[in-house]
Amino acid sequence: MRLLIVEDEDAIRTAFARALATGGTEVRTAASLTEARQVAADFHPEALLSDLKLPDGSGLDFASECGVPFILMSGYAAFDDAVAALRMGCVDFFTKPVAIKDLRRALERLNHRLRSDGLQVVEAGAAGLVRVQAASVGLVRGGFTCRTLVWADAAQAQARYDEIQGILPGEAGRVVVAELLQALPAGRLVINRGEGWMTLWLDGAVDWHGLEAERRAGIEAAAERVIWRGDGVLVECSDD
Amino acid sequence: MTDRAGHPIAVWTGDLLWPRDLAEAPIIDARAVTSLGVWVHGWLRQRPDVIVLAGEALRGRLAGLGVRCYADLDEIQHGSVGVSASERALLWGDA
Repeated sequence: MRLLIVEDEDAIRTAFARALATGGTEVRTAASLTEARQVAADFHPEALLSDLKLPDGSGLDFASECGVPFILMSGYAAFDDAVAALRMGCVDFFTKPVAIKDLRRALERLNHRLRSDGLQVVEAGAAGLVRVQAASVGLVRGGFTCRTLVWADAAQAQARYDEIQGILPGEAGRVVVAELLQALPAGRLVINRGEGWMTLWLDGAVDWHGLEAERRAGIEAAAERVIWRGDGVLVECSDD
Repeated sequence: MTDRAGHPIAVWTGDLLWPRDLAEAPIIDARAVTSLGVWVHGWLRQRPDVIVLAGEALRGRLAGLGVRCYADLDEIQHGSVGVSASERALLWGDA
């Protein structure tokens, strides 16, 4: 299991990394969300252990971006924080100081979930797209690949594009993905890629009739089918 | 690089789907561009007098935006006004 630990206190971060890098678990660490995003871009963690409150943001928000099973810790946790985290799918929530043995037990439960969970259907109504819960890369059952791209600024958007070059179906696919990633300053793009086809869901409200009208025209010209909704856009591309 | 009249030519190549610095000149040779992102529309809008050499598909797209496009250097007619400033503003939606 690839585990990313995000903790701004050096001593705690080091101690957790040393204690949890056992039994086949590969550990990387970060002291901030900015560093965590950089590490995650290369490391592709399968699980996350994070402080709730970090100097540059919320560990819960980052966990939502990653889309992997996660455990949160906090020295200031209120009941509401724990409830919010558990509703977001948090495997466990600890108030500091947390014992290593408790973390190990939680990671065992997380690892079990990782190995037994498969696909989670999201936006099952009109979009019917699938987001992988257990991992963000790789071939999954059904013969297609799922990726969720998350970005917080233009540089990250281009970095996400560079990461998935290998699965894009030719020029049309590259055009559609590039334009969707530039349509929002920060956002989430779900991609399902199968044999000869690709379906994408851009999650978010874009003013497609205003400044983005030319981008909309570019996407429609490259795609097979586009469904424009107030809360996002569904795009279908083929390899032809 | 210049044309026979000595006008500088900037050559664009490859995939231009993401914002980057672009070579500038009165004539842009975009015949080797494989993909052009919408962000380039803004770049061209800021340079209304630029002339673009492009393949057929790209010529059709850029011509619809009021950009003077040609298939090759021999077709360029310097000094002629294909689209007036007011017509260009109408096409861009700036009017």
